[in-house]
Amino acid sequence: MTTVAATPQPSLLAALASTDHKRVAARVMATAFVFFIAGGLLALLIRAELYSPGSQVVGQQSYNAIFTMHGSTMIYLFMVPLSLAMGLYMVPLQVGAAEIALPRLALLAWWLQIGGGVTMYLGWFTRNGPGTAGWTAFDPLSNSANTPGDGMYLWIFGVVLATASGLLMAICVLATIVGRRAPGMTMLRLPVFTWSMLATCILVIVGFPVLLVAMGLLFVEREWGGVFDSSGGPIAYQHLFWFYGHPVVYVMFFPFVGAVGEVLATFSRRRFFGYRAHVAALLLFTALSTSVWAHHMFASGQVTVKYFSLTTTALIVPAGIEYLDLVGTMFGGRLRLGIPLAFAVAFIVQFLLGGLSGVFIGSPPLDYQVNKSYFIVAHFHYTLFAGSLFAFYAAFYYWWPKVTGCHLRTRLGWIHFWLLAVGANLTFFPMFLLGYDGMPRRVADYSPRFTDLNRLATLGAFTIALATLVWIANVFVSLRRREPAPADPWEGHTLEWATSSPPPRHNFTAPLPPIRSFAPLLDARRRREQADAVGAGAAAAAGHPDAGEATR
Amino acid sequence: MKPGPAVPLLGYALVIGTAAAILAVWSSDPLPPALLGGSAALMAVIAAAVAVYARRAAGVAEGPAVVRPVPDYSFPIVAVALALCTMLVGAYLGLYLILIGGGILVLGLGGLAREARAERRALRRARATAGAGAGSTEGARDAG
Repeated sequence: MTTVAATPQPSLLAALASTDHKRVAARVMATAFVFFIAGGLLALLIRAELYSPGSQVVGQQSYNAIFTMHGSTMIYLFMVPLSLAMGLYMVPLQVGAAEIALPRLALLAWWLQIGGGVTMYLGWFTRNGPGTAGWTAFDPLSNSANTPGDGMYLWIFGVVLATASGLLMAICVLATIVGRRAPGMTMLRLPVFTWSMLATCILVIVGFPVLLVAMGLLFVEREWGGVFDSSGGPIAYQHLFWFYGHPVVYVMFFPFVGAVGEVLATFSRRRFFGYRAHVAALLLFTALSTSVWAHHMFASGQVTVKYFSLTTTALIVPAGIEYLDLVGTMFGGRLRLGIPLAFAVAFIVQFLLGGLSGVFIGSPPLDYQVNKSYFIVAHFHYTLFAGSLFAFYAAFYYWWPKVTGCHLRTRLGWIHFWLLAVGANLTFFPMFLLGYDGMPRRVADYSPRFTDLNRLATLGAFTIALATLVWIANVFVSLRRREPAPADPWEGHTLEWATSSPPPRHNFTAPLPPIRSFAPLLDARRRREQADAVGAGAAAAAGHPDAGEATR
Repeated sequence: MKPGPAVPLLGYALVIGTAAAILAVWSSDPLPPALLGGSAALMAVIAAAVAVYARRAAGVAEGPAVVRPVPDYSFPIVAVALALCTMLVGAYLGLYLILIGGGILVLGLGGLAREARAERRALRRARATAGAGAGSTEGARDAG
């Protein structure tokens, strides 16, 4: 039986089996970043190959394996675990809970994430290499005739384990929101980030089991056939895949929007603007995003185009409300310039570009034009990299003092920000032009007329790599030469700032402040300021000599 | 009346249920509306379960004062994870991996059962302490 001490003693074995949601979440994120580095190195190989026309660095088959593993790593092993791990860490703190619901499931999720990643990467050591059918593994491309070998099987098992991991994390977070809220923390007092995690969990619970089914069927198809080999089989697989594949885009988006909302409110020193409208828009967004998946299949000619085009275009409404709320929060606020704010603003601008290009390709005639071209690559990298990853960095710089109890270095942070902003736009903007001019995606070679823009993109990719090195250096420097952070370095609004940095095992040692809104710490601060002002006024009326100082 | 946690789930189920109905009118393929309608039904069931849970939990003080008797470390769940990974890969690589994974799974589940028993004991002790007038749930931290 596992023995529990009141004060856990850190040890290697204990570190591997802790049920503390903060430790589990930190390890999920660290694991995700190991895979981020691996996926990033694969991206550099892709860009090195595409620096010039012809084949210089890798052959066509290796290129297929590299872009498959790059996409699979970034989606299944990096972005999804990262977004859910943020909730695993922050949601219990934000709702005032002592711990997460179902902590063992959270620990199980971390181990399945590792198992999934290791299994997927074991494909490199098989005779035919890893899966080569893209991160979507469309049938018949992914069947045993077209993608033979053990690597594709290991890819399927890796996806299953990683997806099960995400599902377990979402169940833990949702159960915490449902059942572990502190007294006074009603649903309409949940912080914006927690609402965004609630929406994320809904999408995970609806979408992820469908992918598990799709992967199971793909396994059966590869082993014995008879599943997708009828005339409607490939389209059926695509429906199953995209029913997961589109909502997962929002799984990789909502948590970051929520985090940006927290950053903007704190750094604008005002309450989040349009809270109720934001919550309603988020829920509408969640429902609509489940109803648009077949816009990925317009070019197949076998989907209900008018329905999926309509629902896709309708996404503009909740997205617009969310943008209005984010910008409205800054409007009229007393902005405090900091690295989290810079990343949050960059997210707003760059995600807008990704989102608007999504509206563009939500229109069937335009989608037919640019489908399978680099325009699509540019679109989803603007949403996921230039959008969500920038929002993650906003959250990272914002919550790092809370998680570690020390500050990151400001100068290195600014270098990281500018290198990443330049690198991301230099990499992905030329891809819009390449796609518009007709350069197809998923090919190792291209026409010489695309050379200049490809060289720009490659230059940008290596700038991103440099930015990432600066960020890693910042993390190491801040941990080795610690600049201690107080419990609430930013004057935050939500309950995670009401405890020490880093938080203790059971999150809170002192009583929580009264929860009368979604920003209880801001409320408490305002009450203190009002009390101080009243006290200073009374002192001035009584002729106290320090009264003028207090009111200045 | 304040909206409970089931309301957003139910709202979501209603919207995608409506979307499924509209899609069923337009789509000649039964799979897309079935996917959407099935998800609406699933979420409605989850919303109902959440509503029942929230109703039963109403009035129970939550938050930092309540610490449940969960061990700080759980090695059996690590064994379960290892077993699941081994058995899954064994589905392709060979029966021997499934058997090894099965053995580890039995060990892991046994460990989880012991943990559960210890938790119940710790909870009883904590309740007894609270009933004796201590009014504290600190004892619950000592599960295991």
